[in-house]
Amino acid sequence: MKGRNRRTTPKRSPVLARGNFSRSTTSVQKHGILKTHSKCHVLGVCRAPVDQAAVMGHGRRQSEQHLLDPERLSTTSTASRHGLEHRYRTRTTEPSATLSGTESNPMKLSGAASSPWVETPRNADAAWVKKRSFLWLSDTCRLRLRQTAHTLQNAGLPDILVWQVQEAGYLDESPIQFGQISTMQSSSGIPSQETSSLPESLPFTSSQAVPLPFPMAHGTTTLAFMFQGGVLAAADTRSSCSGLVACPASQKILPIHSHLVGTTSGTSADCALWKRILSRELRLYQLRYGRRLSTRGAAKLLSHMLHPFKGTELCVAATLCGWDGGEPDDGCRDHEGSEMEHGEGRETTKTPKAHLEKTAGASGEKVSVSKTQSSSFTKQQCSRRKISFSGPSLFYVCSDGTRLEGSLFSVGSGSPYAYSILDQGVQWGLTVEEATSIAREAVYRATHRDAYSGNSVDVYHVTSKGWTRRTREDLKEEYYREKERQRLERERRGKTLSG
Amino acid sequence: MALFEVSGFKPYSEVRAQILPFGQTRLVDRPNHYTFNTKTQEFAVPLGEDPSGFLKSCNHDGGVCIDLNHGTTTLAFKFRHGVIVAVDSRASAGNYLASKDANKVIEINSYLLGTMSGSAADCQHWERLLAKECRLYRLRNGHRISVAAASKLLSNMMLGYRGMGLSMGSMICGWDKQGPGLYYVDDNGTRFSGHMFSTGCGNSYAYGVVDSGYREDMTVEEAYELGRRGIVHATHRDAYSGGVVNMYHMREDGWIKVCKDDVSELIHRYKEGMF
Repeated sequence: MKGRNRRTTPKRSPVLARGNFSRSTTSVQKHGILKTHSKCHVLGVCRAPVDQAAVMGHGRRQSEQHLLDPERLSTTSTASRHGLEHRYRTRTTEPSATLSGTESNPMKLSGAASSPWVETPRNADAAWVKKRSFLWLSDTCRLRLRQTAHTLQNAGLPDILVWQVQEAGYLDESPIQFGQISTMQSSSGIPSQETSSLPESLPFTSSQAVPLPFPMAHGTTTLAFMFQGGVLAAADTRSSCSGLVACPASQKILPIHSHLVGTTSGTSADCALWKRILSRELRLYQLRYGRRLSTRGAAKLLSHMLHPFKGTELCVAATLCGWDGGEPDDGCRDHEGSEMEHGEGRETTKTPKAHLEKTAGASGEKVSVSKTQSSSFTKQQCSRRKISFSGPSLFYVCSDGTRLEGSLFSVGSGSPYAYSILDQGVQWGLTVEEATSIAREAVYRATHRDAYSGNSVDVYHVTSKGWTRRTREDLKEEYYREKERQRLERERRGKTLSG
Repeated sequence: MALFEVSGFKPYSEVRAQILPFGQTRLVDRPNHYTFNTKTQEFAVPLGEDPSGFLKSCNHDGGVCIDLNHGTTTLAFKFRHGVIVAVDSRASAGNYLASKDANKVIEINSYLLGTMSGSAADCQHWERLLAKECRLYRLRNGHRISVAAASKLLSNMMLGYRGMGLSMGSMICGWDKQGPGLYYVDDNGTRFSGHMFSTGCGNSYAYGVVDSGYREDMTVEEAYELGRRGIVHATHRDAYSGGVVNMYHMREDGWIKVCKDDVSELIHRYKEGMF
């Protein structure tokens, strides 16, 4: 499209925010958020408002205000250097007229709201708050953006990319510069519309990594497995920060929607953010297409959203546990072969699987669908299979790109301890009580041995009716109960021996 | 070796030391440099060599990548009827399986056992040295060495070479006058007494299993089953452990070898009908 090409300026930098969505401040300044939410309609919105939100901690009012404030938009355009300008056009083309800058190209994002960020040094905490606050943009805020877009549209400016999902954008950019620490300092080469407050530390092609304020630890124990009664997910509740228990009552299993929960492991902030992004995307999918996205689709979506940040310090290792509802089947589903071994999920990649037996399967059974090289044949099969698939499913998604389907996963520093308990006890035919007790025992053993896991255990159970949550249980009690049990047992045995 | 020392023959280095008192006698190449005992607790190292520096260069940072034999799972626990020792039998060198039938338990004598994990060479050498010392103790003193003393000897040997790149995680198990004894000795010089230990890269898996099933007053059969399960589940999840489970039971009158079961058969048995 013409408009599109015009928007892609020659000075478009390959890099970007993609790589820089980490805790480093510069990266956040540099459209880290934008990149992240490239799929989001409120692209243009996030920068200015987020900045204010970060400072104040209250996202909404300021964000709305700043959205349309032309003064805000008229300052420096660091964004312009980064080739994402086309995304912000709607917001900026109007105010660009007010720019004192000499930039003739209306496409150049002069209204970079990034400048307010750029002015003041941010620390990692502010960056985190920024990330979170972005999500709290109000509906009115978005509505205003839409209005702006309409206005601009009427003004005759092509706004093709405004609402377009930009996920392909990063593919054009070279992966090489991502996340690199560049020593290039002020070699931007862009004519300086920048204000003097622009720090030189923003290099042209990549960001300078800001050292973390403290080493982030990824200690946790989370587990999830499938059985006849659905999917069970359990996790401890300790949030640690290399030796300090930052929060003994954090929540590591986050519900994404009524039939999908995700366990989180890695950096808490990253996990919480991405879960929210995922739930938003799933909701949008549901609104657009009238049905829930399957767990497999959600896993793929999350994996693809995290892909741009591969190689950076983003760390998210989540298992998505869900029940795919009785909706008409939207695609052929691969299952593992006839032997389902624990935790041995196959990577659901694009490579066609081996030719398996073809059966028209109902939900919950081990269905093998033949998947051949030709997609047309596959489609034929799908249409033949009128039976809708409905049942539990479990996927593991990691920010390094792993996406696995399986029936048993445990993630985190305490996972080895949990794995052996689960290996012993998990079977398909468990009752819900048995499954819960195994999950609790596994988490308890892990917390017993692993320093970074502890405090309490959360258990979630996903069925066809949705997820239910068991009351949080403090494991300290469990420890004392066990000691008591052992003591009684010893006494009893002592009595029988002597008696 | 032993006779040489017992006879009191003056080694060359001691004579030399009298003539040249200020020489660098520590790192001198002595003719009897292969001995190591309570009197000469030093190991001759050729002049100019720095073992720890060399080993540091062998890790990934230095560019060179030499994978030492580290992967294993061993476990031992003490209970009322003695000590159970269970080990796997896989020896790996990086990605290569050097042996599927390695023996990781050294029978020091009929009432002392030592397990090996970490570098196979280090373990074998130092535990054989420990065996020699234990025998000498018995000959000199007329009674058996206690488990505490044996483990202390080993830990002192490790302390003598601390920082020089030794890699050894061993459990010394035995039965002496105080009853069953279990000590964990490390290449850092760590020495712990305890009821249950597991070493090697598969140890976390074994801990989960044994922690949940352990009771001090188990029967012998239950204890055997627990030891087997610990190793089997660890080999199932850990890539560097496998082979067979070698299990020993240390009793009051000495140790017995209980079984040598293949882990793949065991895991299938445990998981039958599971999925």
